[in-house]
Amino acid sequence: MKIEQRQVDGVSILSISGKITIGEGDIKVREKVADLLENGSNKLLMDIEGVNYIDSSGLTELVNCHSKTSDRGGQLKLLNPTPKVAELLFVTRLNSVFETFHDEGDAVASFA
Amino acid sequence: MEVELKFQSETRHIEFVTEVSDSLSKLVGFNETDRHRIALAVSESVANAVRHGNQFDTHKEVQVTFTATSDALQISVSDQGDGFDHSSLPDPRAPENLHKPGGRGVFIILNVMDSVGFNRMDGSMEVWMEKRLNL
Repeated sequence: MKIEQRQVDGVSILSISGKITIGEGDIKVREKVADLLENGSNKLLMDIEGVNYIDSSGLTELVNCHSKTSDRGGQLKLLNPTPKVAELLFVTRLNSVFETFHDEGDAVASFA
Repeated sequence: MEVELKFQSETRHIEFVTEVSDSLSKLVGFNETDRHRIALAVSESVANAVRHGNQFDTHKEVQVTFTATSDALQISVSDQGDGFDHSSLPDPRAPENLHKPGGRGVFIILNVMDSVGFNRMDGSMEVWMEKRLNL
């Protein structure tokens, strides 16, 4: 699992690839988001196009990251979920928690 | 074909179990979407067995049995824990639970498989599930 970070118009974009599962990617995501929040970034966009597998532990981490970001007065949004991940977000109704985009420009503009 | 796996209660074994699941799903003839759903259900049930059932006690085992037929894959996951009553689990989709971190594993299993059963026995718990080919 890999996370690459870049900044666009004040939005921290995390491009995540690989798995977010129990004991594998979940802790990395948690640590990365905690680090960003600690350093004052609270406009977070997770590009999860490269996430080919997520389980309930991965979903738990996303929900935790969303809550922690909201607690800091910020927002965490999702970009480009694959059909498999989108299905899981839909089934669990987490699609109502996460604002989701399929275009990076639209996603970044939504933070303004 | 029947494949039986027994291993210590450690989450590092989950990847291997899902690889076996994927190989057997391919053998039965499931498409990529259903193979992913089956692997997810297997992964969730093994994670529950390790974490909630055996509570990470490495002296306790998890047993997974796959039975592949010409048109279905049946999977049994057993642990040596006290078990749980699945009917008492809260609905993770309820508005008051949506932002709660956990509680989605069993719900996902129930949603991605065709049949799911729970057998609570003295000193063990079995989750049984089946996915059928849409012929």
